[in-house]
Amino acid sequence: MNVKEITKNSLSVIALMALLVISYLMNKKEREFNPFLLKLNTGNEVITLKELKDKHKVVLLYFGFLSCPDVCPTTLGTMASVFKDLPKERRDQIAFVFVDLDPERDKVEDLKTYTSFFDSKTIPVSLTLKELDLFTRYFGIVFMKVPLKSEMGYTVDHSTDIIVLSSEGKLLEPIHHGSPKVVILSQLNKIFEESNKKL
Amino acid sequence: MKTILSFFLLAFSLNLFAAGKIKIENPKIRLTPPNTPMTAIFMNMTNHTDKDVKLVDVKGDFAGKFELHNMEMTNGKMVMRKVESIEVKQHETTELKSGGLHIMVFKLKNPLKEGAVHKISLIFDNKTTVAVDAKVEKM
Repeated sequence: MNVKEITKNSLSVIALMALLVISYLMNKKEREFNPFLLKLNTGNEVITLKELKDKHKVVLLYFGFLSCPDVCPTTLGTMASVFKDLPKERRDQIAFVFVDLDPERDKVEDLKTYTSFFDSKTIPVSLTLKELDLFTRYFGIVFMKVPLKSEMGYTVDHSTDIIVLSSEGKLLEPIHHGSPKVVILSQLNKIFEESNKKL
Repeated sequence: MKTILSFFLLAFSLNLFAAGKIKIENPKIRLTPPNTPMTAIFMNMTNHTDKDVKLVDVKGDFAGKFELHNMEMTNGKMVMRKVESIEVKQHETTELKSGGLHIMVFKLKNPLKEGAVHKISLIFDNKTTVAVDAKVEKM
């Protein structure tokens, strides 16, 4: 190889390495993302998942939006009924979070009115689309804005599972949409029994 | 005897009259939180005629717009789409229920009250209009 070729090759290698370093640096935020430390806006205050899991035995995360006429009211209604059937001691040890997937339309004040209609213990959370992207991905939740030739303008397709986190922040078996109340109660009671055994 | 006979004839003819129509059962409006401008209506529609019919439009005074929608669960994800019509096949029942086909209600004029009854008109493609009283229920 002559000098010209060596220079050409070296420049190519340097350019490639620069690209790799840049993409590594650009992904840094995503790789460093810790959902437990993300500041969650509840309207009243800012909390973190870490604080919630430290104060509760179980943290439940449900992802929905206010223009959802069926699935979200059904889920929130079912969970309200489940909480009513639990003894107060266990009910207080569960944190139930409603994460809004439609920050473009849904205001945080409206989230509170909506969730407290079903059960006042529900914690509404409003995140930016960017934060939602990282947060939902971590928990395996999928959501997608879909335009409709409708009064709605667009709807949000979304996963309907309720994510269940232990007090250690471990992902437990989710609560599936359509599960009868009896099954959900059994699932939650099992978690309490397991954690009592450990004591 | 004559009274009993005429009673049965009347009941039979009324039944025949009803049998040539579309019957709506248990129409209910889902009670939603006061700041929600939309909701859904569910019911069972039975087609007693000899021809397939399609529900093509809904009208009512208590809201600004009504649309027909379908919901489907695909791989744990809920998908909702607007549909142009809902078919009720001859001598069959189509259910409008949670998690499936339903009437979407937009621009509610007032927050819904549990137990309130609202009149709606269901318009079918065979030029029939069926008026029903739908009750607001906590579901």
